[in-house]
Amino acid sequence: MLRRIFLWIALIFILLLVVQRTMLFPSLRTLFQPKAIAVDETPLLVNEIRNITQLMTIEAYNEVVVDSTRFPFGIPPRIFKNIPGNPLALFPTAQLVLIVRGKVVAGVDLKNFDKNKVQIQGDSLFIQLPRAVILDVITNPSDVETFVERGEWNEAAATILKSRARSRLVQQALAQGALQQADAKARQLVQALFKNAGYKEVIVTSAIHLTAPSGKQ
Amino acid sequence: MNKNLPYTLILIILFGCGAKKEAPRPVVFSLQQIGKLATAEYLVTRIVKAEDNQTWYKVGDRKLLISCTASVKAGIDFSQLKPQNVNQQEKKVVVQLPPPQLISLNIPPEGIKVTYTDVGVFRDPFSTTEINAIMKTAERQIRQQVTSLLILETARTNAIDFVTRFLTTAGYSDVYVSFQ
Repeated sequence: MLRRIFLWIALIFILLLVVQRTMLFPSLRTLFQPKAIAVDETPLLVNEIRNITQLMTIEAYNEVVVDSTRFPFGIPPRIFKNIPGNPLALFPTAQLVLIVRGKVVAGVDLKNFDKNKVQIQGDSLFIQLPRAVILDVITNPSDVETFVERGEWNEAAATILKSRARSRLVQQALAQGALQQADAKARQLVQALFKNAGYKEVIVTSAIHLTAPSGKQ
Repeated sequence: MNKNLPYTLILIILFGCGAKKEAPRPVVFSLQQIGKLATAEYLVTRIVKAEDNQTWYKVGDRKLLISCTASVKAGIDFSQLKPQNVNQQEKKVVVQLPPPQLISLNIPPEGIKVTYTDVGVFRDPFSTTEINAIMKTAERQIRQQVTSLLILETARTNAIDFVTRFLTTAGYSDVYVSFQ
């Protein structure tokens, strides 16, 4: 008797497994899973074509967290935290927290390279390159993750948050010496090119990074 | 023998086979040296059309139009230029550049603008998370579409032009630039 029960259970189990694997019937999970929002294939229009000459020499990858909070009636509930039965606690606080992964690209813009910055003396060459600048900050939609979204937020608010994340990415890259390293790598690449092209001595310098006076006496 | 065993097994099978969640990517700050010469930039726009009417138990539709501006850059990887790709004789130099490639796609947040929404009475408005998910799909589609643009051709022409000018400035009278 016991053996027969075990056989029946095993049979039902195998049958259900087959049904599940062959997707003959959807599970409750898939039945109530919302369908993805359909995004149509629309054409890509070219608005402008630019001729550029940017020598990109450093890529700084980083991740930052940015957040924004909107209190009910604009009053933080902690102001009334000592009042018993704080009425503001009844109203929900809206919060948006984004994790933004991004890439800061630094390098030398050679568009306005001045030919007067090149001097030739026999088989020696002296070149002064423009100083390195931040060329791109890339935070595409696939680099952004919404960690918390409580309450209603419009796209403009999200754009402000993402812009804040981008400026933080730039600050961190600058703090890590991205521009100095970009200058050094650009000099190295240009030096290698001219050494390969036959110059015995190649001296490449970068324009001086001017810093604004602090104003303190 | 427990009578509920078959039912328990059924429940385990129905609810136990969920998809595994993707593990979060590790946080790494890295400063990487590259050597790419970007010579062409295309500024492109696309209208992203999204519709949410496929879920059977949700009453009413939601429609969304987003205007999206992006920048695509292409050029050559200068770090792939080897000594054997540069030949020099007196004032003549022959350079074989690496083939042009797509360097970056940049969709800045300011370039994403919701221009139209139509949300049914019984539906919630599009959340920031949903708009970002729509834009992720649109980004994937844009990445596929940019390959059909003539940006690589433009990058190739501009690279020849720039390298010729740069080497002429450095004292060479005959500059020949080709691609590997």
